[in-house]
Amino acid sequence: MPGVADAVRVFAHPVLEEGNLSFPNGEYAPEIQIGTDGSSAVVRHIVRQAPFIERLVERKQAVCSCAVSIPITGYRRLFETGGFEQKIKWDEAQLGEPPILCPLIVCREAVRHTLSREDGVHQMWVNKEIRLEKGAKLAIGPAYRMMSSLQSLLSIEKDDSLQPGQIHVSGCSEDGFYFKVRMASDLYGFIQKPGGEARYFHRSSILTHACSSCFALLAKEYGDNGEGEDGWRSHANLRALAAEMESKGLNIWNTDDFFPEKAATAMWPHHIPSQEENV
Amino acid sequence: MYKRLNDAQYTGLRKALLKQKGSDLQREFLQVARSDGQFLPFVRRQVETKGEKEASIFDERLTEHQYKEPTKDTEQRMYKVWKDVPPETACRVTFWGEVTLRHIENGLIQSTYLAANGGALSGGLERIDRALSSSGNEKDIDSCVRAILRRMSGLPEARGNISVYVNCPFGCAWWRERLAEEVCALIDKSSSGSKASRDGILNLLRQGQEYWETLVRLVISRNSVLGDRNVRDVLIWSLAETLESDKENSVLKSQNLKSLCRLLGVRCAWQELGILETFELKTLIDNEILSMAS
Repeated sequence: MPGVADAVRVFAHPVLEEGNLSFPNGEYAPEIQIGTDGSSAVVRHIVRQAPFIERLVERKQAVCSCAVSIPITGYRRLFETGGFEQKIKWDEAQLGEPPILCPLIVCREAVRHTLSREDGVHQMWVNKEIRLEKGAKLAIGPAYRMMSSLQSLLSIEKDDSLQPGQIHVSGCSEDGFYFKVRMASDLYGFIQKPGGEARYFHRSSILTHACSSCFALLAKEYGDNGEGEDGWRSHANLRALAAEMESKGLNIWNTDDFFPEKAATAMWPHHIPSQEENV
Repeated sequence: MYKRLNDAQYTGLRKALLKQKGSDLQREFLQVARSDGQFLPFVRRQVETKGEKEASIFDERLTEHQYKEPTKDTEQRMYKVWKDVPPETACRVTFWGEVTLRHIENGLIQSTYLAANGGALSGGLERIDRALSSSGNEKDIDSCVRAILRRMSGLPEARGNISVYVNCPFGCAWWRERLAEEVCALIDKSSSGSKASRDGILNLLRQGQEYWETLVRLVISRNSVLGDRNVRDVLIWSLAETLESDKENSVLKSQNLKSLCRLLGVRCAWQELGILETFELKTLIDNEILSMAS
């Protein structure tokens, strides 16, 4: 759902993006598939019911592209493609951490055009002459952070100094935000190996326990509103996590009614193996 | 990977130190910072080092003043030592923390330097002693602890990711030189015959702490318009030319630099500047600077 910031964005030309009504039936739904090497991605630029933009791309007057960035190192590069699909690759060793990908479609040359109903635009744009400059953004996709899932918030390490069965969770805020979960070697070995349902559920419960500790740390460290350069909103994966929790109707760590174990088990409930029912 | 401090342990130490103003831990930290022989084991005991490749160290002993406010020449020599370090490493507090500790271990700087104030204010040892004395209060102790952490590596808990770039003298030197190198390479590649020299670019980047902070914040902020290397390099190029031709130009004040970047930010909302050729960007940014000055 578009926020206030989206609603007040004003462009001198119609733009296809979430919350923008310039193309009332249009949709820009880029699909991003991360390569198994972790340092490449295939981006499919799916444009629906926005014939004006599709036509510009087909005529090579506009180009599908994807911005790859790592804000902390000041890195940002725009990858372009001639069609609606592109493969991009970045140097993981140079970037150091998973980047943010932002698909977009931009003009590659100046275009002057009088819009009509056939262009798929809102009535307010019909018969309006627009002048697009080189680089004008025609479609803007949502930013995709490779580290946007909770799984990527956890870095699990073996710690031989811990007693059997022990875990220790701490927060790290340098390489993006993540939690370091140290596990005793027996536990570490246990969660690494695949197994049947019971093993899977047990493993999930251990991780839910770790996540509960992570939430407790979040409440302790980031119980404020999260604004500012060093607030929790400065970390894309925490914003993604907050959005995911809110979409499930859960309170997040900056509210009074936030209970770490309740939130963790709502997100990742404990499961009881089916054989248990027969015990 | 270059050797760096263990992120979780170092983050834990910083957080523990910042937890309470005037705490016993803060007092102990300042007490050990008075002597290299105590400071190093105190930190090393709590924070391990990981990584294989050792970064080189600066090959000359620095005075407190040279360390806290290195001259252009010193920064250039520092950069030569770490030229091969990639940006993804040079933006890490864990990397510069390790580098700083190694300089103390090798007697090239002293741990007390980390506490020194800027300008002609008191030296590090004097500042630590004043904070620890009976007349020192909790605020003085906390402020001294923060100064040490800021200088040693940068303090992201208090200042965000910008801290490495602006508070740690080694990190600051690396980034200034790196940006200057990038801009020079762009000017050479453009064959524009520009008069902006490396020295002129460094003069721009060393205009003052506030100007540097403003510029860095625009480069690394998550919504930065200057994230694109070409855009930020052309902006620095144009500003360096402005500095060489008109030292009084209003855009050379950090407040006006912020306004200029706000203008570029508005443009970036509807236009992807990363797709423009260098000469197109140069014209665009020169025009924005001109319109601001008029």
